[in-house]
Amino acid sequence: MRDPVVLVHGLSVELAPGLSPVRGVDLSIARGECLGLVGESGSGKSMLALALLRLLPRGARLGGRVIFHGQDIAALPLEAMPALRGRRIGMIFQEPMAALNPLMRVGAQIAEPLRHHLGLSARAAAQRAEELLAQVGIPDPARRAAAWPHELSGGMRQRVTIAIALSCGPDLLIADEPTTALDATIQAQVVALLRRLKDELGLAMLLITHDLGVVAELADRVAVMYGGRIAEVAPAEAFFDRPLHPYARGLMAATAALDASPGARLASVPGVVPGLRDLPAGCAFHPRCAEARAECAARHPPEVTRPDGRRVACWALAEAVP
Amino acid sequence: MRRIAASLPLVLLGLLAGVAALAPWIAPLDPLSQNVFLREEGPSAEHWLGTDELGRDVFSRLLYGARISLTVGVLAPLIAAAVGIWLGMAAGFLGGRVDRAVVRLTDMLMAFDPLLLGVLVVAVLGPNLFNLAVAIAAALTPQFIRLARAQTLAVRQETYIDAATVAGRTAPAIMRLHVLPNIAGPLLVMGTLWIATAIRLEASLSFIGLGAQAPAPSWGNMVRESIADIFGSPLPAICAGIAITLTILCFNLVGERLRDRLDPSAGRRP
Amino acid sequence: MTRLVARRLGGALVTAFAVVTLVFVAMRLLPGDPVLAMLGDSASAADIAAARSALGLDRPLLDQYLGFLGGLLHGDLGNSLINRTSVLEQLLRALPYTLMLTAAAELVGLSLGIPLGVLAAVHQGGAADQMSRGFALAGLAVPDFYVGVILLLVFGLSLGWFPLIGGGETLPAMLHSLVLPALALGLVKAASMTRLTRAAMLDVLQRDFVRTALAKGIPTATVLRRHALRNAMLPILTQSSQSIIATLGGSIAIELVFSRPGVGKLLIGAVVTRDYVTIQGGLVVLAVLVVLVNLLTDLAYAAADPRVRVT
Repeated sequence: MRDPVVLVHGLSVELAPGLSPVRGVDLSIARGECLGLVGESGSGKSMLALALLRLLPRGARLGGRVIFHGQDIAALPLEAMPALRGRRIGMIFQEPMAALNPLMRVGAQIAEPLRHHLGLSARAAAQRAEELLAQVGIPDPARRAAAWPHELSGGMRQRVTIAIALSCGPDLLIADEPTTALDATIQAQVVALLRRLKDELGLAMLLITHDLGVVAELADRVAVMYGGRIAEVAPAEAFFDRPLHPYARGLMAATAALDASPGARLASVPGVVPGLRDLPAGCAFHPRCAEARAECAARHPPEVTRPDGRRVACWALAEAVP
Repeated sequence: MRRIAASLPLVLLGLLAGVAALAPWIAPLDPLSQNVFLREEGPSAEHWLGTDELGRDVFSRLLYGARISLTVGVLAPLIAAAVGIWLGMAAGFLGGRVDRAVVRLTDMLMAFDPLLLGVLVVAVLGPNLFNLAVAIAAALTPQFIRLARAQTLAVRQETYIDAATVAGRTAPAIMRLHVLPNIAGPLLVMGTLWIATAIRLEASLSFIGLGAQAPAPSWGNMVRESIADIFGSPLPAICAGIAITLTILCFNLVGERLRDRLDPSAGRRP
Repeated sequence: MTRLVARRLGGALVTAFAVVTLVFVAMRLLPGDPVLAMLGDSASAADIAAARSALGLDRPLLDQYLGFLGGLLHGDLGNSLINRTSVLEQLLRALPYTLMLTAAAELVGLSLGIPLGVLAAVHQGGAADQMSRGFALAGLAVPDFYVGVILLLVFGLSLGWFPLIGGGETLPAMLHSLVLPALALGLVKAASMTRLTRAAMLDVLQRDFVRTALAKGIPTATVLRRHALRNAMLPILTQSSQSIIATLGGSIAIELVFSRPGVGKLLIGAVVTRDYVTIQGGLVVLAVLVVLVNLLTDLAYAAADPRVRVT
């Protein structure tokens, strides 16, 4: 691909001995591209996001490399990270209702990184904050900037967090379940906003979600995560047209199709997502997989890059590749 | 090693209780007998911790002081519990006007610092040991009411309460048979901690002069009498103060361990 | 906001009225005859009746109550039964010492307790945390008057750095004699403050907006101060009125240790001598103080938390 904004190589996170939510992940995101990282809770995707910003809990260990702007930020000392956070990499989280400091006015919270990273004066920062509010589609930005967070609805608060994340013009935006806590109509608005911003600003975006619908609307490429590892990576259209990995296929089948008959039962993937302490040996998905074979329990399948550019980690599929 | 340390407070308290109970038999000397010729002596073979300003044996007074502190320390919370738990349960269970009245009463009582309240009650009733316990109980009662009420409100939602009501049980019976056993845990925990508070209040009130009256060997008294003559020997004051501190500390530690055991959710953040 | 203030003020006035009435009722419930206590057992019936009439104790209760209220509004709290001086005068002379001690002790408690609590929370499980826990345990176990005694013995008696008695007449003397008592009361206060701050900070540090602030690249120290501590202060503020009242109460014993001429000493003296008028006056003043403290902390909380102002 073109020169990626961020290149993740073999990323692993160990919270405690034997407890690894991320176990060797390779990713890359290009400028203006949105990579949708899909997985259920417990797949390790949120931990991955936190790892990129080095916001892991105390005592957690990070392995692998994260190349950003030519630097391996996984190897940087922790004190060097605040300079990057909010400035070159922005992040928005799942719960907009709790994401803002209840004792600070909205405008001030947007102005905070502007003043810190860009050294703007109070007035300039306040002005820019208002502009940002307008940019994320908040009506009457001047009045809203003086408002307290509890005076705003969930959708508006999420827009504010987006404004905060983008305030200093980052190259990468990480969005961890940005729409999950919002009503359906508001979800659509936020998704549309993110798409517009990505196109206008040429952002590289890592969209983390379990909602395939949101991925379909926003992502250019899709990566599926299970048990701390990547199961499949593919361009969005190709993925939705024909997912390859058995888990991905299961996910798609479980999503109700528009043309399914109303009374049809939703297909589901049998079994449950294993807890961190109960991860099976070999391929983490094999106990639930209809196509499991002997090797799946023994060794984790390597990621294979296919001729069409897609990557899959599955023994069953490896054979199919000529 | 850690387990020894953990059970230490309980062991010390047991020791204290034993000392308090057996004081008349194990105290080497009479705590009240004065000896003008031996005033404010340092430690000696006969007087292990020396004598106080009236020639009395400090060690024996300490032992007898344990009786006062423990008696009042346990009695006061018991009285407060007897009154407060029922009021709190009634307020939480019956709601409405009863609840509002109880809450208002509690707020008013809690507006006064416990020590001040104690002073007040002793002023009204006169200074003797029993009134002292009542005074401290007065300070602790609103706490019991509050806790019992909050716990009752939580328990009230449970289905077994509804079941009992439907089965025709009267309110007092439900409170006694169903609510009380289920709120007992936190009450026991706080009760232990409030024993520590009670002991502290007793010491403070005695120090002020409104507690056990002289010549009673209350630890608070000992501190006061010792520093009344500031240039004399401070040993009685120091010893008594250490006794008070250790006792309160032990009750606090035991209470906290009880809390960790019986009510783990409360102890999430120690 | 002004509506809120007005409403709280009104509520405070009502509470003050209720508490003052409570004091009146409590005083009339005193068993034993104040007159008898004053005159002694050998007084004749006529003397007793005369004294009672002079004190207004033979009038119907309602009359007494109205007289009491009327006196209050005129700032007349009666005269001491013992030395016949105006109770109000005595209280006004004693009040500054008590207020200074309470304020100074609170200051010590806050400036020591809050930083320690923050440290303990930030380094949870570490050495700082263990030490602050030990400090909190010790502080909660030691009676404040005992700390006062120790400080007095060491710094007052042995080292002679501070006066042993009195509150001082001139400002420098007042401040000088404030140090040990404020420390005694304040250290104990600091112990509970540490605990409280630690718990509040631990709670706040888990919240999402702290993570947002960190993700913005704001330096940790600033996040702790501007985002975490500011929010942690709210539960602390809620407790602060109880805390100040406790300090006020604790000052009684400390005043005795250091022989400070404050309200506590006055009150205890009145209790011992059965000087009911002074006791009543002292209680009224303390009760009004309590209501005032509650009012101020209420308003402070409303000023601090914009979410409260909606109601």
